[in-house]
Amino acid sequence: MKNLKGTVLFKKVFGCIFGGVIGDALGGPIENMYYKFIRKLHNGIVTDLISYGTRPSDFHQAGDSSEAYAWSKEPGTYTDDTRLQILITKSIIDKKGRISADDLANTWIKEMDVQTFWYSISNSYHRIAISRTPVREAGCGNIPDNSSAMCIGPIGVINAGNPKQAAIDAYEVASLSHDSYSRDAASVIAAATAEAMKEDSTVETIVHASTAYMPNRDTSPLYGLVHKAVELAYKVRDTEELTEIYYRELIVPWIRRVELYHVDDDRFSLSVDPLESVPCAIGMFYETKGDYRESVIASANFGRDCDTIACMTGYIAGAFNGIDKIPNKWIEQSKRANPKPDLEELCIGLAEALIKEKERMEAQVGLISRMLV
Amino acid sequence: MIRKKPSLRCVRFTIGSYTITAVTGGTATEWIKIFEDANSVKQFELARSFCAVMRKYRDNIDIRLRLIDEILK
Repeated sequence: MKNLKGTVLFKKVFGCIFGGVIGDALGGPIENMYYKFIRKLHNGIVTDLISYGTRPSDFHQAGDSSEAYAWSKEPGTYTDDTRLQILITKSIIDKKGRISADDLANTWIKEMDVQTFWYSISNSYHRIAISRTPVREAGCGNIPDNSSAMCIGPIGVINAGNPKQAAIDAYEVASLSHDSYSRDAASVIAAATAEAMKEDSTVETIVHASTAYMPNRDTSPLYGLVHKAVELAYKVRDTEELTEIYYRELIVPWIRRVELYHVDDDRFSLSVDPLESVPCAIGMFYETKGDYRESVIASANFGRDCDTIACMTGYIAGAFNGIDKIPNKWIEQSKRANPKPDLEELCIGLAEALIKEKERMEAQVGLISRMLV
Repeated sequence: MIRKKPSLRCVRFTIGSYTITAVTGGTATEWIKIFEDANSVKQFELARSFCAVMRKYRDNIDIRLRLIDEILK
């Protein structure tokens, strides 16, 4: 094997992680906005990493350390999606391979700054931190949202080429934060990412893998919605038309008893629901034929929970294309904006964990082969 | 009903007031045959099927290893 950094594997690992980080940072400054308002505010769609300072003052702002949001206004700064992803990555690196819900719970307890996460994650954290709730029951009855899916890219990486196992592992670790379809959502994104890690994967095989191995596929509402999103994407001319159609056909109203933010006009458009965000991410990936830049730009400009949509699209498209197809300017900008922890070091650790996982598989093949003589 | 095979031996021993009769000896094949007859389960077929499953499982891991080797170039 040549130097790790020169391998396709490293380029795909790097592509997945930075793909997610950049998607997150592209969507972050326009999160919770109505798609028409984004186009009005920025004189068209946003095509570059922009400052969080561009947000109108009555939208929630970056820089508040107690928010599940960006810690600084600098372009390229990621949000809680990537913070949660980093905890999964660190857990995989510590374990040097695939992880269980117990492994991730240990990393949460050791490393999580719970103030910087949203209510569902905070709820699960406190269940395991200050009670004896079994780890796999910490997500039972939790608020349905995108948290389990928005961080799951590394589970696809460590199961590179095995979308079925990725779906099962994602379902396992997501038990920490969710039950029901929010947990299924993690399986969809992880399976698609694992398929995208294959050198010979195509847009079609990735979209197929996203739901083919989904636990609960016969009963989960997410299964049909992902298929519907892809069908709609097949019919449209471009991502702008797809955005309009998704607003008509795929939007899931956020039913709540109180207003969490000051929302008094149609500039705001709020969502946290994976029944909307996950189909949207897969549909945008399909419509843009997996092109990294186009898919994350389209996902970010969807508005609503668009940092998460672009982050999820970014994992898949980043793994599919590899780091060479991600604009270098964006990579450098995201490294500068997020110096700690060192994202490149995390990618190296993740790639090394995958090689360890490969060695374990080789040992298992040898063991079974010897018994089959 | 267990049918005795020639290589199987019947032994009888006593513990306190209990007398126990046990069957001993015989080969693994004979024992499997006895259980197959007694339970109408084809253990050999099940074992063979399981071996095929293990072979398939091993082959699947092999395929995945080749995929990882491809991207390690």
